[in-house]
Amino acid sequence: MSNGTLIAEAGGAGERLRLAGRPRLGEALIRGALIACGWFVLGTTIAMLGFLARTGIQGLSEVGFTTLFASDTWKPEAGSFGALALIVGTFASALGAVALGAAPAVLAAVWLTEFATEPVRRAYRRILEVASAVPSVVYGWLALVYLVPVFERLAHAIRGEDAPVTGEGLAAAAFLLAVMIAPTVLLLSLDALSRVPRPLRDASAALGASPWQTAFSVSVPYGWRGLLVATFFGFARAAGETMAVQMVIGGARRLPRDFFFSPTTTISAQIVMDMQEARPGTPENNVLYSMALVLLVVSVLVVLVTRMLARQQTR
Amino acid sequence: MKVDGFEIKRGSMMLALAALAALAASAGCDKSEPPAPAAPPAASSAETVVPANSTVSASGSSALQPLVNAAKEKFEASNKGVSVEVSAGGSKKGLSDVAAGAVQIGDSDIFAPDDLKAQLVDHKVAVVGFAAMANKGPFNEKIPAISLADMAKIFSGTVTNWKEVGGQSQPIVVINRAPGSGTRSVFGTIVLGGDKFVESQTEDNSGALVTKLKQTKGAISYLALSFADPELLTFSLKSDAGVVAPGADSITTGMYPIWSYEHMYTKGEPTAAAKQFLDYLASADFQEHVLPTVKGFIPITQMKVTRE
Amino acid sequence: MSGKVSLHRTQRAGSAREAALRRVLGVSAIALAAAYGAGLLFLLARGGSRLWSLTLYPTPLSGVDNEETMRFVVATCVFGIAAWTVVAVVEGILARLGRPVLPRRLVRGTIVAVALGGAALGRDHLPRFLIALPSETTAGGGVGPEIFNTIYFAVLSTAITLPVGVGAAVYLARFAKSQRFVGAVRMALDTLASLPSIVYGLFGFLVFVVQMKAGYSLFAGAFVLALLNLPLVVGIAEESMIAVPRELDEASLALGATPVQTAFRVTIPYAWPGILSALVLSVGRVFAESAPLIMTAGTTISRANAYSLDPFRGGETLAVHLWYVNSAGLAPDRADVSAGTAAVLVVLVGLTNLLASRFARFGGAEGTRTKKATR
Repeated sequence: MSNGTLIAEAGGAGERLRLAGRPRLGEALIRGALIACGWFVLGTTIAMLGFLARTGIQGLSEVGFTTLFASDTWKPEAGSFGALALIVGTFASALGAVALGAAPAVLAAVWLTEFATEPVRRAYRRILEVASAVPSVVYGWLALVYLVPVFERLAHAIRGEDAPVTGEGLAAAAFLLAVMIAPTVLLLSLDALSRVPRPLRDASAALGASPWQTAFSVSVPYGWRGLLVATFFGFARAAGETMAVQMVIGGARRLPRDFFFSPTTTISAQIVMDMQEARPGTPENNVLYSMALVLLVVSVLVVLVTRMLARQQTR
Repeated sequence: MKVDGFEIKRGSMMLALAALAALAASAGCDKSEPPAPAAPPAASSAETVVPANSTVSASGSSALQPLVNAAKEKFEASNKGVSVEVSAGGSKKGLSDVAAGAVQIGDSDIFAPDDLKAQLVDHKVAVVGFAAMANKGPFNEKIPAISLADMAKIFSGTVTNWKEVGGQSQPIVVINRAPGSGTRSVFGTIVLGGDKFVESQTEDNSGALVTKLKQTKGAISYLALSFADPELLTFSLKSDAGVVAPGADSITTGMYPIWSYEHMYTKGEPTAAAKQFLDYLASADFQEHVLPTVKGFIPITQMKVTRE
Repeated sequence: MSGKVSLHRTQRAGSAREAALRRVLGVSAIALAAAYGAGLLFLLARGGSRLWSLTLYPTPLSGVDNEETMRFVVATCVFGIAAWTVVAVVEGILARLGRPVLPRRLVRGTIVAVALGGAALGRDHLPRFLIALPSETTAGGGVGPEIFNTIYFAVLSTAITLPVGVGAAVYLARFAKSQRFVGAVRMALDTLASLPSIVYGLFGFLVFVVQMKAGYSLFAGAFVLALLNLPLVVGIAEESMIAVPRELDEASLALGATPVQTAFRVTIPYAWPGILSALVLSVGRVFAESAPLIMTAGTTISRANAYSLDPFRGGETLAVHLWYVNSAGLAPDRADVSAGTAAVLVVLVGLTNLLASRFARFGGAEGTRTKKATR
C-alpha cells in the first residue's frame, strides 16, 4: 500500500511544474541516502547471517552433525559436543512455557474483548504493557529469589523428602518463561481479536446468540489464526530467552534426571556461559555459533509460519 | 511549527537552552582535582613513573578476588590516580581475556594451557587451599574425615548417600562449579584425576554457593578456604598418616594436597600501572603484612613444597 | 469493538452456567493482571529500601570525574519526573471537574523550574544508591555508572536507529520502486525481528571484539542494539507514514514541491508522533536487553571512565549489573543491590511506556505497535 507509484508519476509532473534552475543535486542525494538506508538494513542482515553461518557451519563440520544432535555429553573442554541436552532443554522449557502461559493469556484476551468494558480494557492494557517491557533479568532474579525455593519445597513434597531434586530445573524455567511471555501473548491476542468485524458480532447477536456463544462460536473461530500467531511469538521468545532462564535452570550439562525438578541447561544459556571463555577459532567457539544457527533456524521457521497464517487470514 | 498539539515554540527552546547552560556551568566547576603525581609505593622499586589517572584492569578467578581486593585498597590509597578494576568470571575467562587483550591482568587458579603459555607471563602471588564443604546435619557431622578416594567417589557420582561414607542415610546432592572455574579444575585434577565430576547443578557464585550449601540438605561442593564458614562442614582428609585438616600448616608442608598457586598472568611483560601493581603484590610489605590478614591465603615463601 | 458488556440490550442473556463461566473467566483474567501489578509494586517496595535513603553523604562521593554533573543530571531528572507526575495528576483532576486546562507554557515552565531548582538545592540529598560506584566485594555499592551507561546506550543507539530507521521507512512508504528490493528489505526486517537477542550479541562479539579487535565498547553495544530495534522502528514509522492522507502529499506535489521535500516537510511531520512513539519504545528495549550487551560492552565499570562520554570504552548497564551481581558478585548485600537495581529498571521502563503512550495518542498504528514492540 505504498505511494511509490504515485510519487513517481506525480513527481514527474511536479518536476515539470517546477521553475527551472531549482537544484536537482540535493534531491538526488537525499534519495540516494534513503536507498542507502534500505541497503544498510539489507546489508547488515546479510552480514549477520553470513558471519554466523560461516562460523556455525565451520563448527558443524569440525564436530559432526550426528555427534551434535545425537549425543548428550556436552563437555567442550574434553572435546565432546553432544547438544541433545541443550536442545531438549530449550524445547521443553519453551513448550512448557506455552502450555502454562499461552492458554491463560488467550482466555484473558477473549474475556477482555468480549465481556469487559472499555475502561477495564484500557487499564488492563496499561499494566500489561509495562509488564511486557520489564527486562527479562528482573523476572529471572525474582524467580531465583522467590520462585526456586517454592519449587524446591514442591519438588520434595511431590517426590519425597529424600529425593535428589532441586528447585532449579525445567519446571521453574517453564513457569518463569510462562510468566514472561503471557503479557506478550495477551497483547497480541487482543490485537487479533479486535480485528474481528463488528457486523459479524452483531449478526450473531441478532440470530439469538448469547455473548458467550458469540465469543466462542464466532469471534474466536474467526480470529484463531491471530491467536495462533500470538502463541507462536510467545514460543519464539521463550526459546530465545537467555539470561533469565540461565538463572533458574541449574546449569547441569545433561538431560535432567528428574524431568521437572532436576537441573539441566538450554541452548542460549549454554552459549552465554561458554562464550565467556571460548577462544575464537577453536572448535569450542565455533560450535557455539552452530547452536546459535539452530536457534536462528527455529526463529525463521516461526516467522515463515506466522507469515503464512497472516496471509491466509487476509484472503 | 505546529503539529497536532506539539508546539515546538521558541519558549520551550529557550527553557531547554537554559537547562543546558545550567548543566554546562555545573560541569565546569566539577572536575576532580588533578591527582598528585603517583609516588611509588614505599617498599617497591618501580622505575617507571605511572601516568596520572591510569587504570589496571584484571579479571578471572573468584578465589583470588578477596586477595586482589585487599591489595587494591592498599595500593589505591598510596597511589592516588591509579585505579584497579577487578571483575570475576572464572579462571578460564581471565586467561582468555588477558590473551585477547581485553584486560591487563588475568587472575587464574590454574596454570595457563599450552597454547597460551607462549604469550603469557606468569606472576605467582600466593597459594590458596581448597576443601570440600558440605551442609552440616545429623547425617554427616559425626564423620571426622574423608579419604581422598571416597571424596573422588562422592564427586564422580559413584557414592550417592552419606551413609556410604560413615554417616546416616541422606542422599548426597553434589553442587558443581561452572566449567570455567579454576576451583573446579584444581579440585578435579587433584581429587578426581581430571574433570570427572558428575554432571549436576552448577553454582558459580561463591557467595550464593555458600548460601545454597547451608540451605540444601545433604549438599556438598568445593570452595577455596577463604570461603570457609562455621555453619558448613569443612572436610579434613583421612590418609594413612592420620587426619589432615586443611590449613596453612598442612598446606605448606604438603600434607594437605588440595592447593594451587594463584597466578596473575600478563600478556608479555606488564607495563606502567600494571607492573606497579604486580610489584606491590610481590613486595615484602604486602606479602608479610597484608596477605596473612586475608583469610585462606598463604605466602609462597612459606611453601616447603612446590608444584609444576 | 464492543464497548458495553453485552452487545445489545436485546441480546439473549445466556444460561446461568454461562454466567458462572463468564464470572470465572473474568475473575481469573483480573487475577492475572492483579498478579502482574502486585508483582511490580512489590518489586518497587523491595528495592525501595535502597532508593529512598535521603541522608547526606560526603561530596564528592567517589572522586570520579564528572560525578557532580551526573548528580545534577540525576537530580534534574528525578525532580522533573516528580513535577511532571504531579502536573499530570492535577490536570487529570481538573479535567474530571470540568475546569479549564492549564496553559501549556505555564505547565512546561513550572516543570522545568522545579526540576532545575530542585536539582540545584537537593542534589546532595539524592539516594546514595543512585550515585555510588558498584562494588565487587564490599557492601554499599551503587549503580550510578550503570544508570549513566544505560541512558548513554539509549542515546547512542537512537542516534543510529533514528536516521537509518526513518530513512528506510520513508523509502519503503514513499519511494519504493523496485519491488524486488522492497521485498528483500522487508524480508530482512522480518528476519531481524525474529532473531533471538543472543544472536545479535554473538554477531557484535565476532565483528567488533574479535575481528576489529576493538575490545568491549559501548559503540559495539549501541550498534547491535540499533540493529535489534530497526524492525520495530521501521515497522511503526512506515505504518505512521502510510496513515498520512494521500491528499496532503498530492497537494504538496501539486504545489510544486519535489517528492523529497514532500516527504520531509509534509509526510514526516504528520507522522512524527507515531515515529516518536516508536523511538521511545526502542529506548525501552535498550533498557531491557542484557545478553547482547554482555558480549559487546562487557560487565565492568572502570573508575577512570565511569561517567565518560567516550563511546569506545566498555561499561555495563543496569540489566547487565543485575545479572552479574547474581552470578559472579561477592558483595554481601547482593540481595539489596539486586532489588534496588531491579526497582530502578522498572521505574525507567514504566516511564518509557508512559511517554510512548502519550505520543502514540496522537499517531496511529497502535496495533502494530504492540505486535512489533513485544519481543
